[in-house]
Amino acid sequence: MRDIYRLDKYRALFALTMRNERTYLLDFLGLNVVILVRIWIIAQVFRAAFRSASVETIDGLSLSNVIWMVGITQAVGALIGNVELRVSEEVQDGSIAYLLARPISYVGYHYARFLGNAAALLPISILSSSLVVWLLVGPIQISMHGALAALLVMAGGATLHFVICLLIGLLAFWFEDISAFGWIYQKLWILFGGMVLPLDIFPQQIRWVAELSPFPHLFHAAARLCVSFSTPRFMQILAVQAIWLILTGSALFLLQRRAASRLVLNGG
Amino acid sequence: MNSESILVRNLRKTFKLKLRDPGVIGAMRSLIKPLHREVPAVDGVSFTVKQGEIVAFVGPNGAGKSTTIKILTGILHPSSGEVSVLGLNPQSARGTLAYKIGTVFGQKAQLWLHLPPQDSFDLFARIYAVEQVQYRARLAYLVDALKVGELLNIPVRKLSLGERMRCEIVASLLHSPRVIFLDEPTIGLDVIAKQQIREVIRRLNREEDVTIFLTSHDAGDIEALAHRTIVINHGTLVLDESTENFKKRYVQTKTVELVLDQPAKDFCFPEGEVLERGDFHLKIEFKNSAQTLERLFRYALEHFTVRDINIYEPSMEEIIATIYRERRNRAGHL
Repeated sequence: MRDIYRLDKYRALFALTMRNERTYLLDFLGLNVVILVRIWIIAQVFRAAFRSASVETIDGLSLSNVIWMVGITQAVGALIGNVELRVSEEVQDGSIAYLLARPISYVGYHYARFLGNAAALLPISILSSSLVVWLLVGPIQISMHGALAALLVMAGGATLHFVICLLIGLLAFWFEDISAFGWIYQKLWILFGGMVLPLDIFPQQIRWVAELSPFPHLFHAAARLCVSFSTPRFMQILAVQAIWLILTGSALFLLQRRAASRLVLNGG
Repeated sequence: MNSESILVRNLRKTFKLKLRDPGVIGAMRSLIKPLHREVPAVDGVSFTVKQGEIVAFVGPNGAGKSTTIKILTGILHPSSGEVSVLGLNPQSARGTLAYKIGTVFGQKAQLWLHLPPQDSFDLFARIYAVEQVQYRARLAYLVDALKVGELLNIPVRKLSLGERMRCEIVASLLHSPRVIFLDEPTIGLDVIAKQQIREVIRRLNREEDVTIFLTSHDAGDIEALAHRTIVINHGTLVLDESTENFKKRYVQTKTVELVLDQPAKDFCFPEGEVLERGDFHLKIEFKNSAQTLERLFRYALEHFTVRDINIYEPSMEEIIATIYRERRNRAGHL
């Protein structure tokens, strides 16, 4: 194994990022409150929708299921790190070059930081969101299988999100401002990623197309498994995640190679 | 000093600049048919640096100094030419070379802003795979040399610029590099911080036979540290000789600016030439010698109340103009 891939480097980066995130704890708690309010509003909207339609379930999902799914997806999706902004900044101010001069993988460096950020913030976010959802609609039964499968799918989804963000960030080598790409990705992910509406509620045709896209497989899939676990669904999610990871990972590999050859720095 | 640490032969690096006409039409045209211009940043530079040598690589802004350093550290790929650092090609063996070289870029922070320097040091030790025992000993040595013991547990954002730079240098030297590239290491620092950093660089060079490749706009850095000075301008090498000779030939004068409480017209110092005289301030140029400077200060302090003093040395642009002038004169004589 090449020296730059030694795991202890990335473990140290992961640990340091976790410690670093603690210095922003107040900012994070403020953002967390916003998410809790958002969950409360979404819950009221769904409560009204279920009441006006006079139904107990929509496509097999009860009100409690829907709120739990949206709550978990929000808790993760709204707070997970946005790597693309940091990467595009590094490309624009030239600091990417200084990172490349170190005996460490650039992708590994950002992945360790991304995971450190998630490990520091997400447990608090998931716990507080779960508490709010529990107060709103009561507890939900989660099987051990469901929880483990959700954790695995969550890790896959987070990695997929990381790779897509990194791809968008590296576009800064070709475009002066990548915020438009980030914006489009975010909106698609909010729309089809279960941040507001679970995919189960969409019309069948849209749902079918969306199921093939990476968006519902980022964080919504994990929330769905948490709420109602089924082995075929779990396998299907893993397969789609794997396909998207191979596709986006290959794109990242190619883009990184092209980007390295375009590396032009400020200053002479 | 024996073997070569750095070898640069006929190095060229050109950057491709995208040209764009102003306005919407210009933007559209550049989208459909982009125009590029090649800008040479380094143009046929050759030099070698021996092990244990301290070389100052100087030149005005945009001369190609940082580009050369970035090529030597493997960050940039040269357009053509041969480059070798410690016998390795910096581009193809970047990973291996990274363990053997240290870099300090005065304008790029590598420490984590919200955490104490100790945390960043621990991380760098891991990244550079320094054994824990070796790391502790090395850190103790550098902490003592750079006097940063009291700063280790203070968040970096709360440190002064000088304190931060000293910590940046510790971070760059933890893995005991054989060659250190310093790009403007004393930029923006006060006199005391500069002295401390220079002393450490000298000490490392003396005690560990480390090769130092330094760029700086500060003539003090060059005078205090460099055995040899290489001057680069517009990407080409214009001078390569010992710092002693460089100083003798091109840093011949000093200019002192004084602001006085008494009228400046009474100021009379025969060893210098008055370049500018206002009501209460004057600029005097004289031959660069510590004794003359001392005599000037003694005279000024004995006869006047001095409100402010500034000392200037010839700028890099002036030095380069002198080098070109000298060359033209020499060619004219031939």
